[in-house]
Amino acid sequence: MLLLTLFVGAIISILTPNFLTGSNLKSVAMGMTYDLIVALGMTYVLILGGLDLSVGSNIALSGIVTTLLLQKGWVGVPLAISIGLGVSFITGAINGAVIVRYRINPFIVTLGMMSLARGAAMVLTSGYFVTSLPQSFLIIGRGEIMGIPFPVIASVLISIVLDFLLKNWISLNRAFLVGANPDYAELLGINVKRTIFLGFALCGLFSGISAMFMCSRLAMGYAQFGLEIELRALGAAVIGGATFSGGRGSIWGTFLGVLLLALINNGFVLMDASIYWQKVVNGTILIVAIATAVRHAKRK
Amino acid sequence: MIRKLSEHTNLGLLAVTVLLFLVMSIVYSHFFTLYNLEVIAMGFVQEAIMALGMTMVIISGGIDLSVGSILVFSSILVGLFLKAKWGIAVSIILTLGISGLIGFANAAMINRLRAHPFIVTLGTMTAIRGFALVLTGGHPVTGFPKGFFYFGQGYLFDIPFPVVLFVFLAVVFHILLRRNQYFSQAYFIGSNPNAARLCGMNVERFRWVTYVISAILAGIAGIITASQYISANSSFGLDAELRVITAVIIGGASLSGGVGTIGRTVLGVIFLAIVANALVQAGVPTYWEKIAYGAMLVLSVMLERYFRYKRTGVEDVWKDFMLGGKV
Repeated sequence: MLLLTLFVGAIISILTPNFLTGSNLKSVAMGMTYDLIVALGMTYVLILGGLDLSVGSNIALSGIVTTLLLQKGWVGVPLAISIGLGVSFITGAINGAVIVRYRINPFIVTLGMMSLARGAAMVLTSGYFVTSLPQSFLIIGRGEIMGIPFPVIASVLISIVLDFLLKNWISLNRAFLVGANPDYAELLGINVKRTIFLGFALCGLFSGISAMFMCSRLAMGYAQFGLEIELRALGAAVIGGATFSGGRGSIWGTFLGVLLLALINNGFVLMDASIYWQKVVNGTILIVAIATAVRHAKRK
Repeated sequence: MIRKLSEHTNLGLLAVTVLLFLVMSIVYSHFFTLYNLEVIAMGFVQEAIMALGMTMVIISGGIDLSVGSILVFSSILVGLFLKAKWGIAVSIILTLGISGLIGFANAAMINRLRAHPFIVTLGTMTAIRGFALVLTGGHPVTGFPKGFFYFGQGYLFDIPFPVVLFVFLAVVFHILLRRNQYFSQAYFIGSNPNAARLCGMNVERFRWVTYVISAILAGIAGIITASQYISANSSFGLDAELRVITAVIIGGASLSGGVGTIGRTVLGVIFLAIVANALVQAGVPTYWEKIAYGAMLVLSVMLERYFRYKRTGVEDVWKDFMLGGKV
C-alpha cells in the first residue's frame, strides 16, 4: 500500500515537472485535508458495518449554517462554529437513530439524508454564495505555522489521535467487534445500538469539521460544496483496507488511500485533463477499490 | 372484498392518493382538467417506466442506483447517433443495446465481486454520468430529425405515446411477474437467495436478466426524454434514482427483497406524480423538491418497517440489514 502510493508519486513527478514544487505539494496537501477528515469518519462507520452517503451534503449544510450566522453577524465566531458543528453532529445522529431504531439499511437512510441536507442547504441560500465573512473566521483555514497551513496540521493531528484512540480506547475499539459480528457483540453485553448510533453521529461531526476548514479556506459557504466527497472518502477507506461487511479498516490505511487519490487527482490536473473526466475517475476508483479489496480478502 | 383488494394494492396509499387528488381538485380549479392530467402523466412517465424494472430488481433483493445516469447517457447517445444521421431505428436499437450492456456490467460486477449492489451501482452511476459529460463537454446535443419527436411528443388514440408505452409495459411486467414461471422466481430469490441456489435456481443469471431489463428501461426513458425536450442535456435525470426507488418502496416493496408487485408500484408512481404536480401547483420553490423526495424516501422505508414489525413481530437481526447482509 505504502509502496503503491510512493510508486504513483514517483511516476507523476517524472511525468510532470511541476509536481515537486513547494506550491504544488502544498495544494495537494490542502486538497487532501478535506477528504481526509471525512474519510476518517467514514472509516469508523465502515468498521461498524455501515456507510454514510450524506457526508458531502452535511458539509454543505453545516458550512452554510455557520457562514450565514457569521454573515448576518448574529453570533461570534466560536459560537457560529459550535452551532455548525452541532448541526453536522445532529444530522449524523438522525441517520444513526433512524438506522438503529427502524433497522433500515444505512444506504437508504443516508441516501435520503444526502438529498434532504443538500436541499436544505439550497433552500437556505437559494443557490447563492455566502460571502463577506469576518477575518477572524478566515484565519482558521488560511493561517500557517512554519509554512504549513492550519488545516493540514489539524487533520494530521486528528488522524494520529483517532488512530491511538481506536486502538486503545475501549469505547471506540469495540467498533471492530460490533462490525464483525453484531449479534455476538450483543451477547457479550455491548450496546450495539448505541455504538452504531454514536458512530454515525461522529461521522457527521467529522464532516462538520471538514466543512469549517473548507468554508474558512475558500472564504464562503456554498450549497454545492462537498459534491461526491462521499465517493472519494469511501474509495480511500476501502483502498486502505476497510470492507463493506464491517469489522475491518485502519486510520493509517485510510490516510494512504486519501493520499493516493489526491496524487491521482493532482496528476490529472497537472496533465490538463478535462474536469469532466474527474467524475469518471471517481466512479472507476470506487469500483476498482472494491475489486482489489475482494481479491485481497480471497487471498487471505 | 377488501381483503381481496388489499392483496393487489396498498389500501392505505390508495386512500391517501385519492384524498390528495380530491383536495387538489377542490383547492386548485385547474388541477382536474384534461390538460393538467396530461402534464401530471408526462411529468413522471420516465420515472414510471424505470420503476417497472426497479420493482423486479428490488423484489429479487437488489437495487439499481445507476438508472438516472443511464437515462442521461442514453439520451445523449441517441442524440449523437441521430446527429451523425444513422437513422432513427438504428440509433434507438444501438442506444438500447449499449444501455443493456451497462446493466450487464452492473450484474457481472455484483456477481464476480460479491459486492453489495448498492456500491457497484453507486460507482457506475458516477462513472456513467461522467462519461455523459465527457461525450458532450457539457453542451446540449440538438438537431434531431422530425420523425424522432413522435416518441416523446406523439399521440396514440389521443393519449401521449409515452403513457401508452408505460401502460403496455406495466401490463407485460405484471403478467411476467405473476404468471411466468421464470420471472416469478424473483420472489423466492429475493427472500432467500441461498435457499434458491440450493433449489437449483441460477441466481447469478437471474441477476443479469433483471439488471439488463432495468438498464434497457432506463434507456427507453432516456430516448423519450431526448425526444420530449428536442435535445439531450447532461443534467437530465438528476436524482431520478431517488424518485424511482421511492415510488417502488412507497408502493409497498421491501428493500430486503421478496415483496412487491407491479400493481403496487404503479400506485406508488401515481402518488409521486400527483405529489410532484401538487408541489408545482402550490408554488413551492424547486429547491424544496430535493428535501421532499429525500424525506419521502426515508419516511416510506420507516413506515414499511414499522408495519412489517407490527404484522410479524419479528425484528431484523443486524446482519440482515447492515451491509454484511446477503448478496
